Amino acid sequence: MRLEKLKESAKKIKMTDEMKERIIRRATEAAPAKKPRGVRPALIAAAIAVLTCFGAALAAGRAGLFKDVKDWKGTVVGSVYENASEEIEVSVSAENGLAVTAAMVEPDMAPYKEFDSLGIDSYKIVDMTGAAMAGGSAGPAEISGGKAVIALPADGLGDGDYMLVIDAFAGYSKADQPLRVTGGWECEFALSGR
Amino acid sequence: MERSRAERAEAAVRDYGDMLFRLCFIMLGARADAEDAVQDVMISYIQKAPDFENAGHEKAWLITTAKNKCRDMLRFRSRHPQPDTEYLETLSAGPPDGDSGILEALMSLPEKYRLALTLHYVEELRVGDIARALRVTPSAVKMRLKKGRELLEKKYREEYM
Repeated sequence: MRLEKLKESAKKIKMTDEMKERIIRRATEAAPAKKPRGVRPALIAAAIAVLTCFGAALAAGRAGLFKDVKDWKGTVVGSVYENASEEIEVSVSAENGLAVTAAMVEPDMAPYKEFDSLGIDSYKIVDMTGAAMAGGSAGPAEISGGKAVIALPADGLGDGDYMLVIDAFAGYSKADQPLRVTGGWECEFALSGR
Repeated sequence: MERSRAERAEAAVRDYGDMLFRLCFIMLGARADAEDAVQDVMISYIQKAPDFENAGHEKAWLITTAKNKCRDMLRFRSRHPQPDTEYLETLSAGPPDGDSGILEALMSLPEKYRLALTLHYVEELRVGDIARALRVTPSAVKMRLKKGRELLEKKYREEYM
């Protein structure tokens, strides 16, 4: 009964015809022109490579973008790659400890092609009530075939259902600072027989 | 013959626009934000031009993308608190008139329960389809629905009855 009422109330939420027209018009206009908003400083030296990356990124329609990190004075102190949720696929295996497989959808594209190894910069494990049971950073692990398998400690986790929530990965390449790759990833897993 | 970008976007908005808007509104709590989110989803739809296996695959892709857009917006909002005036405008753009409080109760639940309840009880998606869209196991969806129903009932009884 309550759920029927919920459905009835929610179905009243609709877009107006004007809103639909506006969305179609704006999306059609914006889609071909959408570009990354910044360039990772370390890549500027290889201008041609950067241009190639941009061209390919646009062709593939990727959503991630580089952004400068500034200190309180406004000085650029690094960079971060944002909005990468759909560019890395995450799965968890709980058979022998916890192993997170991070598969890059386009490993031959920047920034992923620069990485030798990948770690988790920020994660937490929550139980089904939403209580945080563990968290921190992990890895890095070597990238092979566009994938990195990162081990996570499972100490203190008993039998039950959990969710791994990752806010950021860290991409490592030789002679360069790790690059934070931010987004939002969630994976549910179950532990038993512990 | 392949349809143009505009035709594809138009068809997707016509077929799934209201569903996406409802989902984004329930996630974000404001009409303007929901419109922005749907617009971003349509930009991704046009840019990525995915080849869908069937209508179910297309619907799941749109729901997944909308969920991710909303999460990005919520994350941005938590890091960049809005000035008071904008916040008040956001609050004023609440649920539609005639809502008995059940929708407000739903919108006060944690995101994962809100999403699962909306997709199942409002959009009438099956558990397997929700699992596919949210990239979780069917048992996790069932768990979210069970817990979500309990939380919704509790919230509604406490604050709206």
